[in-house]
Amino acid sequence: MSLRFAILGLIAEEPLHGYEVKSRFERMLGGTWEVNIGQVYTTLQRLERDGLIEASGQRGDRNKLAYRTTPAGRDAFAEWLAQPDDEPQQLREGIYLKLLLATRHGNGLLGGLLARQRAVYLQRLHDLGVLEDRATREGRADLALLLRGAILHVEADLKWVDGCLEEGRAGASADQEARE
Amino acid sequence: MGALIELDDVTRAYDTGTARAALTNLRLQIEEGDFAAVMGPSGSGKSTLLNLVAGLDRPTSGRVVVDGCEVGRMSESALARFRRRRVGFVFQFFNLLPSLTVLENILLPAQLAWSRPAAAAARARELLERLGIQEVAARYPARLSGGQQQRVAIARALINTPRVLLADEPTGALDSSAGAEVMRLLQDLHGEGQTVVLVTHDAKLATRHARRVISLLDGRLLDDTRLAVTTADPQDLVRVTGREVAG
Repeated sequence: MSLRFAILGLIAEEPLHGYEVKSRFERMLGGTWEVNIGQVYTTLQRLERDGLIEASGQRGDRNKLAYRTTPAGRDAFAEWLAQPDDEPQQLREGIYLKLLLATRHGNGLLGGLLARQRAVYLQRLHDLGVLEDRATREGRADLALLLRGAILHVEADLKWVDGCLEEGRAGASADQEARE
Repeated sequence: MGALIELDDVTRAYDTGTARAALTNLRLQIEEGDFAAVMGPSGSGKSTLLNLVAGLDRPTSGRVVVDGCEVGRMSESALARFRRRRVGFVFQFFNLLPSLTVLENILLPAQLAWSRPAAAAARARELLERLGIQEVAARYPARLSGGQQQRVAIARALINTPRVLLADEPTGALDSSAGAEVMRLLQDLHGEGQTVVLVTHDAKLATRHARRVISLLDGRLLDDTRLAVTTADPQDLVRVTGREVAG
């Protein structure tokens, strides 16, 4: 659903044709979300069908048809913009599955895995920090905001790995005390 | 060329009873010109590591060698000389003497090391300018912001041109912008060739400015990551996703 409203929001700024929608959307997100042009055209057709956009009458680059928002479209966009996002938290990284399975298998490989995962997160934190500085320097405050969000997520992942390591250590010393 | 700092199988135990050692069989080398951040939860041995390198503490077993000096074997007076000449130490709460001016604070370690006054004064002027605090040279620490006080503390740590600058949570008492400024300063000093080892709990600052992150857990080395210089674009690192099929 968010792509539909993002497209609607871009068209609410000024009339755009399909290819402009795609390039503006991708530029706004610093390339972190690529959409295929077929999806954009399908979405535009559905928005038009639902009365949220209409042909503006202007012909754009290469004679493409540009769309503008209708009053109903602007209302729908404003309503979407005001709603908080309450989708379930997404934890897609394979590390979560590996942790669960390594715990079930109990093969002693978990500590090494977590240490290597930690190193990956540290490098990513460095890379994202460099990009955030670059975005700020280039006047892309919007992209810097998105990168700061990504940094906070990596910091959370790092804390989570540290928590797993400390918990593993607590478990190991409890085992040792039980043996002694 | 050997490492500037070498810890060879170092254990530091504070209690021979049941308590766990602060550091256990730690092996670590830090080269001249490195900028290393030491991370880990409280009680992981970070500060013990820093204190051993600074000559403020001695290992229970193993060797700590800094700039060719084996810290554990030195006499108290040799160790005091070592601390004044070879290492500079920066603390979380600055530890400036409130009854001395900024300039007097900075000069104090030079006086304790019996440096020639003219040479020390020239070095102090150079550092005041380098760290952007020349206009507060005559003030007392209480009249400075936290960020300025930490700059003064860094100048004081550098007055005797130490081989290594050690910093224990140097941004811990600062707000985020003053903290980032202090870290940028340490990064610049590293760029000019200064070896820097700092303890921090702030992963973002550590990875943004240091070249290497040494992670400790329970007095053991958990991980030692050398950060690669990145040329990545946002799309190589972040994917924003959503349900793309509109209803």
